[in-house]
Amino acid sequence: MNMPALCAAAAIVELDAVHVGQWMVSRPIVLGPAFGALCGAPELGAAAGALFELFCVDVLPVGAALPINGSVAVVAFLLLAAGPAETPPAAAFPAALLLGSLFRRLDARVRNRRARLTALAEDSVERGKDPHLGRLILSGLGWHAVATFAFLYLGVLGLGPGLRWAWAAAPETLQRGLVLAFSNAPWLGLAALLYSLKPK
Amino acid sequence: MTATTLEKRMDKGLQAQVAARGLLLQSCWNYERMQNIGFAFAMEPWLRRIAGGDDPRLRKALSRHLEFFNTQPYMASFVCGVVGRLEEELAGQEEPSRIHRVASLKGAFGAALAGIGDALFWGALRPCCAALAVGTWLFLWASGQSHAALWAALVYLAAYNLPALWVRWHGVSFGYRWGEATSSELKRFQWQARIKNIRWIGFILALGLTAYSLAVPGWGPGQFWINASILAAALLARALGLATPRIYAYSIAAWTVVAFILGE
Repeated sequence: MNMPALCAAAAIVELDAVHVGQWMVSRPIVLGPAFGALCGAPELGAAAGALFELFCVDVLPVGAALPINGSVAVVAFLLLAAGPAETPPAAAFPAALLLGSLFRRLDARVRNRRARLTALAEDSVERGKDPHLGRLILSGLGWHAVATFAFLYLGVLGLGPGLRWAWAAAPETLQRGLVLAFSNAPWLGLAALLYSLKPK
Repeated sequence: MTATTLEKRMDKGLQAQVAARGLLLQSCWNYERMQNIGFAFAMEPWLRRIAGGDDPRLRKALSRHLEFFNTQPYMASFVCGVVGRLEEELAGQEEPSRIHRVASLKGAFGAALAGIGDALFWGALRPCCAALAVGTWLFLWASGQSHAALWAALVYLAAYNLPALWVRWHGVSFGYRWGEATSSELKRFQWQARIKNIRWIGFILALGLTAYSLAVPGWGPGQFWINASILAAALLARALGLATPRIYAYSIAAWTVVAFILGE
C-alpha cells in the first residue's frame, strides 16, 4: 500500500480510539502488527506495537484529558522507519512520540469546533425541524478523520527526509545515544506497565 | 410497573438500537457539552417511540438531551436505560419539576458511573489486557511461533471486549429495569472488589513479564544489573510524576552522555 492509502486507513481506524466503538482496535498492540505487515515490516510492526502500547498504557483518557495518541504515534513510526524515508528506528521513535504528542493540539481544535454542531442541532429544533443527529455525527467523524489523515500524511512527509538528513549530519555520539536509548526503551515501557498496575 | 410490563415495553429491538447507537456516544465529543449529541442520538429511537409520532414532542425531548452530558462510554448504557424509563414515566406529564428531575438524575448517574467505569476499564482492564497481550507476544515470539503478534492482538481484543460488550448490552436493560434504584442495585456487581482483582491479576502478569524479560534472554551478570537499574530508575521517575515519553527524552540525553564518556 502507498503512503496516502496507509494514512487514510490509519485515520479511519483511529476513530475507534475515542469516537466510534472503542473496541481497542486502534491500540498500538493491534495497530502495530497490522500496519507493520502493510508496510512490509511485520517484525518491526509487532515490536513497535508492543513498545508503543507500553509507553501509552499509563495515561487515562478521562474527561477532557488528551493523552499522547498511541495510534498516530505507532503508525507514524512505521511510516518513518519502514516507509520511503527509511529513517533509522532510533531516530523515528522519538519523532513518532513527538507527533503523537503534537496531535493532541489538533485534536483539541477539532473538539472545540465540534461545539458548533450542538448549536446547529438546537437551531433546527427551534425552527421546528428534525435536527438530523446522524448527519451531525457523520460530519463530526468526517472532520476528525480528515484532520488525522492530513496530520499523519504531512507530518511523515515533512519529517521523513529531514530526519534522514539530520541522522546523517548528527555527531556519532548523539547517534549512539539515540540507539542506546531506543534499545533500552522496553525497560521504560515495563516500568510504565508496573506503575500503572501497582496495588493501591 | 411490573417486570413483565417493563420487558414488554423494552424489547430486544429497542435495546439493540440504543446499544448500537451508544457506540457513537463520543462521536461529537466537544468541550462545551461533551457527549451531548451522542447521547441524544443513542436515545432517539426510544424518544421517538415514546413520542408516538408526535414530532414537536420528540424534538422537545431531543433538545432536553442536547444539554451537557459526560460519563465513561461503556457505562453510558446504564444511564440510557434509566433515562429511557424516566422518560416513559414522564410521558404526558411534562411539568418543569419532573423534567428537571430527569436532567439531574441523568447528571448524577453519569458522574457516579464514570467513576466506576474509568477505574474499571481504563485503570484496570486496559493495562491488564496490555500486560497479557505483550506477555503473549513475547512468549510466543521467543518460542519461535509464527503469528505471535496476531495471537497477542486477538488475546487483547477478546479479553478487553467481552466484558465491555457485556456492559454495553446489558447496561441498557439493567438501567431500565432498576430505574432510579440503579445506584443501589449496582452495588451487587461489587465493582471495587472486581477492580482490585483485575489490577492484582494485571500486576502479577506485569511482574512475570518483567522477570521473564530480565532473566530469559540470558543477559550476562553485568547486563542484568544494568537492565534492572534502568527499570528501577524509570519506576522512580514515574513515581515522581514524569510521563514515560518525557522519561524517554531524558534517557536520550543520559545515554548520549554515556556514549560520549565511553567514546572518550
